[in-house]
Amino acid sequence: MPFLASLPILVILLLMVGLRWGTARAGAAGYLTALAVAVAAFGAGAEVLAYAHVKALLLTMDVLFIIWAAFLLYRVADEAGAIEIIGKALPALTRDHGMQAILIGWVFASFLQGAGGFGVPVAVTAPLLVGLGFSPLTAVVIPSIGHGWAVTFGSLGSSFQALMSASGLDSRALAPGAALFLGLSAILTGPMIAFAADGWSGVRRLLIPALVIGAVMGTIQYVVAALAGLWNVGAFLGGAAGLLVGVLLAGSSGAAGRGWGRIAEEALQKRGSIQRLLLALSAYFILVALTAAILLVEPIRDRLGEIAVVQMEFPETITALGYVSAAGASRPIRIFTHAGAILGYSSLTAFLVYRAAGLYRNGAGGRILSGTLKSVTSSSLSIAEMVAMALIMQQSGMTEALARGLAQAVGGAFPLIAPWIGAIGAFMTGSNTNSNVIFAALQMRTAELLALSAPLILAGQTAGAALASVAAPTKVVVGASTAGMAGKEGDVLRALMGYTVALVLFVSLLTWLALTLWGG
Amino acid sequence: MLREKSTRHGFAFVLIVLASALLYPAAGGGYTAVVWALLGMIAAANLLSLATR
Repeated sequence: MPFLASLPILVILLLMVGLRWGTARAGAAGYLTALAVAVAAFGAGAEVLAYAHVKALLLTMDVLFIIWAAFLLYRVADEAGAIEIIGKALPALTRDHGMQAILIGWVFASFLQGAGGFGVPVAVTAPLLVGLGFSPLTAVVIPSIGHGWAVTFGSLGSSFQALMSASGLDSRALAPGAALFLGLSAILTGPMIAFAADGWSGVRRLLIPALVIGAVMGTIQYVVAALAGLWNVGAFLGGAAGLLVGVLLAGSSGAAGRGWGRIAEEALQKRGSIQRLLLALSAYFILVALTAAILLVEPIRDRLGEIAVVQMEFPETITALGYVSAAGASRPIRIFTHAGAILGYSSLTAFLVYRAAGLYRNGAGGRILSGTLKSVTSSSLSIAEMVAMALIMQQSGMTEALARGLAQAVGGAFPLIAPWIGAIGAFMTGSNTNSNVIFAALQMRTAELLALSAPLILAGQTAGAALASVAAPTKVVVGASTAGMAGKEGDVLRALMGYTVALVLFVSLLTWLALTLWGG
Repeated sequence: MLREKSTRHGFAFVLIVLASALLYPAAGGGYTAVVWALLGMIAAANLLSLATR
């Protein structure tokens, strides 16, 4: 049964990595495989499949809301020439290609993950890197690897919230392990970014700044999430601290080759350029300001959050093999405080700012909307297919059979395997949150049966899921399409696979080590 | 109409969304035949997106 349950994932992997199919085609094949296996081997009937598809629709819309709005914001900025201006201005801070990759593809992408969420870091930074002369493939790979460490405590903590809800454990139990594993992963990510940007020479040249920035981001996230208890802003503040340190290092290190004095002198001479850069960046300042105002200011968040809430009740379903999915309500989708809505407000505000500044030519609004629609069509279909596949697997018992088969096969080596289960869930669904929802209860129960520390196993689950979520086809397709790699998602996936496997393996070893030292 | 890939993908997406939305009342009302018909539409939409051209 575990092998049959793994077939949809194997089909997608084979078609995307082996045959280089695009996500829409591979996703359709994965969906049809899941449907056939669920009906023929797992006894899924009409009711099971029907509610799986409705749940998938809700999840798809939840995800697509952000993606559509992220594309819109990008188009608003791009139509105004902002992306080009930022791309031309950044070399003023550092001419080192590797340092540019670190600043934009790692630190800025992590900051965006802290403030935004699904797909935004890659969708925003990959085009910037292309503008700086990176190949489209490298431009997608760098921010994809770069923001993985920030996923669990990013998006204002939505994945961590899912982990707490699904396990019933509180943040005091769960945050220390998760923040530790992800903080150490952040430190390892820096040299990987330098390598992806500039090979081994990049690693040798930028090892110290990369380690310093990684240590700062990981430590701040740990202090904020695990010690201060503010888990919802852990990655946001970690990324902000990384930006501050990264900009200082870029300006003062030999990598910059110029120094702050020279930059300040040039800035005074080119005041107009600085003003143009600030105006170009205003879309992103607006995004950060609105995100902070809406999600961190309680009265605003509560008032807006009550206006329109989408939530559905689902009855219990049971397959012919007896697998039960409990009755319950879906996760509420609060339309006006949704990350997609915040991106939408930001897009509208930025559009008005750019228009008032005279940066648009006639017909800009129409071009922005048609460009957005054209970009998101294939991505939307791919995500609908992948999410439906994942929900069919979940509702029919395929996901559980797969996870149990993996856990039973490894027995006492479960600590090493737990992060991989989380990683598989995130790869399938494109989401750390979904992986936590699907696997947290199973991971916790297995840990209890094996007399292991459940919080540490769950830390491995969410860290593995966070780091693997960046290579999920649903995320790859977003990044690929913003960097002009649409239809070449298989190439991106192949390039990402080595880094992702290394990072999840690192978390596996950390989980095993932590359990050996502290947890049974 | 469906020769263009983007048009085909758009059509498949809309079909999946509409059929999935209709599954909730169909399953809730116990209309099994309607549920299978809607699931067939979703499978057909996926088959459509398998087309290469």
